[in-house]
Amino acid sequence: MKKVKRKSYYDKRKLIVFAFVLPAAIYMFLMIIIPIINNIVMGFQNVDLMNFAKGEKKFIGFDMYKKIFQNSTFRIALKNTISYTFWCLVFQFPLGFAMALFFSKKFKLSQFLRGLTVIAWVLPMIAVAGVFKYMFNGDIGIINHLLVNLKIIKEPIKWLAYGDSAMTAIIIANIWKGVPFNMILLSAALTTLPTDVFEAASIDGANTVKRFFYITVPLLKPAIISVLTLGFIYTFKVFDLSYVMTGGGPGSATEMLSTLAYRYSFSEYNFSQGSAVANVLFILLMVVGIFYISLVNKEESNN
Amino acid sequence: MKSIMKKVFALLIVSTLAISMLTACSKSSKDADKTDQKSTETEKKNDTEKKNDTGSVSTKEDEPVSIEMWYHISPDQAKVLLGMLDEFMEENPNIKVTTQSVAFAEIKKQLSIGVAADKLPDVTLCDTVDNISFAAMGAAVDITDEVEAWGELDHYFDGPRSSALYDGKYYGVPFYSNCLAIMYNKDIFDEMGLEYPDGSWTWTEFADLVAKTTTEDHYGLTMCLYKSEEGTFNVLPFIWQAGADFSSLDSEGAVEALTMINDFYQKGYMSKELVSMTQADMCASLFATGKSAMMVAGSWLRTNIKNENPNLNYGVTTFATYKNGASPIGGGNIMMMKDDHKEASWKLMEFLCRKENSLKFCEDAGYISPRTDAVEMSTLWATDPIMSVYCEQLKVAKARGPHPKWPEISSAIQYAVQDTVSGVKTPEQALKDAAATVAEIK
Repeated sequence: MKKVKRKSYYDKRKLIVFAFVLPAAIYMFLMIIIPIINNIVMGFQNVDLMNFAKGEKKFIGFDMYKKIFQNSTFRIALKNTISYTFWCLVFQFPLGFAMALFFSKKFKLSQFLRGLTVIAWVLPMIAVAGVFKYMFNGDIGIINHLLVNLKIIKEPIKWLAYGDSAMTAIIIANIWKGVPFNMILLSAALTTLPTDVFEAASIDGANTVKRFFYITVPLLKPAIISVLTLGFIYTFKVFDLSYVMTGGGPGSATEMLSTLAYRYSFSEYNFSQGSAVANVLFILLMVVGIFYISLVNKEESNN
Repeated sequence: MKSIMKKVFALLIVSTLAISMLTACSKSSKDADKTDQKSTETEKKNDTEKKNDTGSVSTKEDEPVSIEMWYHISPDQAKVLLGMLDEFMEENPNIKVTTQSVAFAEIKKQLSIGVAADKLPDVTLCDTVDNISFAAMGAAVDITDEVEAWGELDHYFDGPRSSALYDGKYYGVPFYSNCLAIMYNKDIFDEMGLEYPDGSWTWTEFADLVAKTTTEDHYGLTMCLYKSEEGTFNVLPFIWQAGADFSSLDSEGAVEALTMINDFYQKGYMSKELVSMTQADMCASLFATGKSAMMVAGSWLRTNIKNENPNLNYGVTTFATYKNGASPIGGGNIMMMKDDHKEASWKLMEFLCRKENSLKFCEDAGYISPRTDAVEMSTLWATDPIMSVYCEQLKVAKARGPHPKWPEISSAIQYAVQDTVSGVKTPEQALKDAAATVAEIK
C-alpha cells in the first residue's frame, strides 16, 4: 500500500517536471529542430529557382556537396572562416584572460570597470559592424586619423578595399567584441577557485608566475576549455560582421561560410546549394560541440 | 558552483548551435508572424460574410474579398501609393486591400520564403530584374490573357515591357522605371573653369574629365562597386557601351570597360571605399558633400541629395557614348502571386497602372513612368532640367538580362569587378572566369 502511494507521488512529480519542460521543448522542436531537419534534407535535393515552387524535388545524394567542394569560392570561404576564427581566438582569449586576472584584483572601481567593458559584448553585432565600418573608412575613418596623427603610418590605409586589410579589420572588430565575453566567463571561474591552495603555495615559496602556471591554469582548465569552445562556435558562425562591413568582399576575401550560404539561398536562389553550405557549417560546429560535451563528461566522471 | 557553470556552458553551446542555423530560424519566425496577420484577416472576412448571409442573397461577384499587397518602396514614396489604394477601395467597395511594407533589400528574400511556406501576398511590387526569376520559379501568376484583353501594353517602353515577359508570356506589369545617367557638381566644374559635360561626349572625353576633376579635395567620379545587384547595375552600362553583354564577358569590349573602371580606381580618381558602399551611402558621403565631381546615379538619388545637402548645385547628363549609348533600366513591376482572387487582384493592378495613376505615382516618387503616353502627358518630365535628361536616357536604356537566373550572372559580374579592383586578378582574368561561370548557367 505504502509503496504504491509513493510510486504515484513520483509519477505525479515526473508529470509536473515534464509539464515545465514541455513548452520549451515544443518551441525548440518547431522553431529549431524541424528547420534543421528541413535544411539537411534540402542539402541532398536539387532545389533551385526552377523547381522551388513546383515541388518536383529530386534527391541527388551528395552531388551538391561535391559541387560546393569543387567550387573555389566555397573553398576560399572555408579557409577564410577558419583563419578568421583562429586569429580571433589567438587574441581574444589571452586578452580576456589578462583582463579577468586584472579585474580579479580588488581595487577601487574594479567591479564597475569590469561591468563597463561588458557593454561591448551586450551590443548587437550589427551595430558593432556598422560603427566599425565607419571607423575603418579609408577616407574619413577615425582609425586612420589616429594612426596618421600618432605617426604610426604615413598614408591612410584603405582598410576595406583590399583583401588582407579587410579581413584584419573584421578580426579587430570581433576581438573588440569578444574580449569581454572571455573575460566575464573566466572572471566567474576565478572567483570559484579555493584561496587556501594559493596561501599554501605562497608559504611554500611559489612566486606569482609559478602560482599562475601550476595552480590557476590547471584549476581553471574546465572553464578554459569551455571558453575556447564557446568562443570558437561564436566566432565560426560569424555573419553580421562580414555582411555589414564588407558584404563578403572585396571579391571573396571576407566571404564566410554563413554569408556564402545566405548568398546562395537568398540572392542566387540556389536553395540546395545554400543548405549544403549551411550544413557543412553546422557539422563542423557539431563536431566541436560533441568534443566539448565528451570532455565535460570525462571531467565529471573523474571527479 | 562548478557544475552549475558547466551546465550554463552546455546550455550556451546548445543555444548557439541552434542559432547558427540562422536562415532556417528566420524562416519559421516570419511564418509565425504571417499566420497571425492572416488569421485576423480571415476573421474579418468571416465577419463580413456572416453579415451578408443574414442580409439578402449575394451573388459571387459582389462577395467582398480582401487582397494583400506587399511593397518595398520607401515610406515617403508609399504615401502616394496608399492614397491610390484608398481611391481604389472607394471605387470597388467590395475589395479590401491590406498592405505590408517590406524593406527594399528584403523583398526578394521575403517573397522566396513566402513561396516555400505558401504564404504569399495576392499582389506585390518587386525589382524589375527579379520579375522573370519569379516567373521561372512558378511563383508569379501568368497574366497574359488579362494583359492582352487590357491592350495597354503597346503604350509601354520596350525595355520595361521586356522585363515582365518570360517565354512569350506576361508575368507582371511595369509600374515605375528609372535608369542611370551621370550627375555632375556644377560648382566644381565652375571653379575649375571646365565646361559642363553634355550628352554628346565620348568615352575619351569622359575619361579625361574624370582625371581632370580629381584633386586633393575631391574625386573625379563616384560609382557603386558594391558586391550586390547595385554594383552590377552601375558597371553593366559601361560593358554595354563597349559593345559587350553578360553573354560575352570575355570579349574585348567587356575587358575595355572593366579596364577603364579599374584605371579610375587604381589612379585614385574614385574613392577606394566604393567597394563597400551602397548607392545611397556613396551619394550621401561622396557626391552630396562635394567630395566627388561626377557620379553614376539614378533619379531617385535626388531625394538623398536633398536630405543630405539641399544646396548642392548639380546637373545631369546622359552617359558618354563609345560603341553604343546605353543605360540600365531599374524600377519596379507589379506581379500577381496568387490566383485565389484573380479578378480582384487584376483589377487592382490595372487600376495602379492606368495612365493617370502611373503618372501621379512616378512623378511624386522621383521615377519615370514606363508608359510612353504618360511621359508625353507630363510637363515635369519634359521641362525639368534633371528629369528630362533621364527621360532622354531611358530611350536607349535596356533591361538587365532578361534571364531567369540573372542573380547568378550578376553574382559572377560582382566577383569579377571586386577581384579586379582589389588587385587579386587582372581585368582579363577576372572576366574570363566570370564568362566561364556564366557559360555554366543553364
